[in-house]
Amino acid sequence: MNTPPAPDGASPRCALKLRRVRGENSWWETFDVPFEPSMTFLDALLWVRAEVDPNLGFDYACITNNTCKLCQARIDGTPGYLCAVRATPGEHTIEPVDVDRATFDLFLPRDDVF
Amino acid sequence: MVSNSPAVANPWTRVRTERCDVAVVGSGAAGMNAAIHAAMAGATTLIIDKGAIGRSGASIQANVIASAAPEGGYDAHVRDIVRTGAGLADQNLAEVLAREAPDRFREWLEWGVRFHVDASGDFVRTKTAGHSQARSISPGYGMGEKACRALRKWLIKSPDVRGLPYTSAVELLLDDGEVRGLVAWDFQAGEWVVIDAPSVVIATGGAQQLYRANTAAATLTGDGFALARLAGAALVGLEFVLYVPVSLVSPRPIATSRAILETLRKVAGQIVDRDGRRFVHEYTPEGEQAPWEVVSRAIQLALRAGRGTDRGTVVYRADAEEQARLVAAYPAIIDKLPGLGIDLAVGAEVTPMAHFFPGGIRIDAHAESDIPGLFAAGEAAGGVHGATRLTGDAFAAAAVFGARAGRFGADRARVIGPRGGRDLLRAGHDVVDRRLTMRTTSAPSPDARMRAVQDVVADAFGPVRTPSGMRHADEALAGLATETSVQGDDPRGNRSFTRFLEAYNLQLAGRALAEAARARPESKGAHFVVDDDTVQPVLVEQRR
Repeated sequence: MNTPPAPDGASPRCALKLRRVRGENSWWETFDVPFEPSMTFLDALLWVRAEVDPNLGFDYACITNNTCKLCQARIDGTPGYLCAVRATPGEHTIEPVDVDRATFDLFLPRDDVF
Repeated sequence: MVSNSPAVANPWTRVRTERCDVAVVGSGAAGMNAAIHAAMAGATTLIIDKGAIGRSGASIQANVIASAAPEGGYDAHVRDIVRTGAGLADQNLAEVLAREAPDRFREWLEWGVRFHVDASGDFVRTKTAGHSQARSISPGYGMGEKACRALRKWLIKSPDVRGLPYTSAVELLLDDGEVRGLVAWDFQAGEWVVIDAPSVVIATGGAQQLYRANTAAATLTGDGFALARLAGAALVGLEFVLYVPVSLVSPRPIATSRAILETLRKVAGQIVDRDGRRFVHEYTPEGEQAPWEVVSRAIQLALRAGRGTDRGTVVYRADAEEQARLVAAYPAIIDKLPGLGIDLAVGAEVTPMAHFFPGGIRIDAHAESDIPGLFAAGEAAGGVHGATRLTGDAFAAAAVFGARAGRFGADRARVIGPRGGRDLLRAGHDVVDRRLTMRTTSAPSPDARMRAVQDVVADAFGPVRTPSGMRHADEALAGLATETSVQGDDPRGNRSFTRFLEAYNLQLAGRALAEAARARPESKGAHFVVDDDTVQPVLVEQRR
């Protein structure tokens, strides 16, 4: 990511360009998130949900352990886990790993019930 | 939005019905074991979870050992439980746990959990802190994940168990003081589910999310405690909370447990304040390698004295000699630290985090609560451990009482059977109506509601508590409003609505914790109380 240096005195930010999904509808929405050193992309999405849109759809349980394997997303084009990639200041795109299967933003219905 | 026109049905009040013999709420080790044993006893079983089944609770991230007493060692295990529980462990439940845990884990072995065994096929047992005998067994690193995978595999093959993922339990349905089923919310379909079930097993884990600083999964919002409280079932020992003293705050843990440094602390290392000064020895002669509860208390007292960093943490670090010892003891952990951005010579910011609730819904030896038909198992159940807990007994309790809840739940269903009918549906609609009156468009968001609870709880119910702090917190929690805003017109996939349900549960769990704590003015086990004006308390409970 090409990151412009923050102007003197300004706190660094992340511009999260998120692929929103609701059923058949899909659109892009950008959220301005304060950057904290060592934050993960999951932390960034949790901030958006707490401060901007309580109805943001994404799945997660263990938060930092990367054992539940639920927080999958395509981060800057690469599939991965939101809790396992650190964010950097600047612009990032976050999409569902499979846009065609996504039902609520990043949320994917699981085929295997168990 | 809610329409006033009778021609347009309100999308928020859609209800569907389900029927089963045993409904299990929660799908960690306890819930899955309950579902398996209910099915083995011939019951049609429904397992519901507000997240993905078998992945959402605390079990999957537990990297623990499990207790399985050797043949003839049951009495010693019971004695250890009773001693550790500071007189509050239920002797009867402790005996069940000690006797049945080995059988349950042999079952897991058959189902594919590769516990280490010796040439004769018996478990390889090691001795861990607090245990008077070697009875800790393990399948190696990542036990929780390995166990949950094996239990999920069992469930996939069973035609008698159905799973409802992303379905939140909302309220139990009672008739004549007995369980008849429950109301749940299906996140994906955006509809309520009235479940007709003569037996309900609660296996929802603890309420770690009462604390912003916790080591657990995000799903542990005290849902089972709230369900029990709303139904009027007795809770026991909710004032007890186990903390991991050296839990990682910064650098932010990534693909790792927040408790990763605690393993190291037990061997070596220093805990220092914002000025780089060691302080634990000021509170206890044992220093940084004291038992977890003592170190948690020392850290909280230092934070209270204004010695924390700007983030409200202390620093864990190790000098060259200590690092050499840590490398020898835990090479795999030391190897992970550079990737986490941790240099032990500089140190990392840590704080005590809420880790486990030994109390919960009071159960008898059948894992049944004081409401007939309401069963509880795992961390959601209380009475087994008492005022704190032995290492490895959480998984043992999940396995043993999960199995018992499933089996005795199936027994009850055979006698009672589903009743269904319009009464149950009407009771379900009443629950729906009541819950929807708490949903507004202008009140605080679910996250804000949860933060309000967390702020009160962190201050008053940490490792060190004071009588005045507990009293004020209890009053503050009782005074919190319940109205919470929900965003979005579409109930389907509405995350703010499931958070709204969780926020209310967290509030109820907080009230249960506060009431229990306030009712115990003296220190006991993990509940440590000092007088308001004590500056330098003795951190170890005086045995009376």
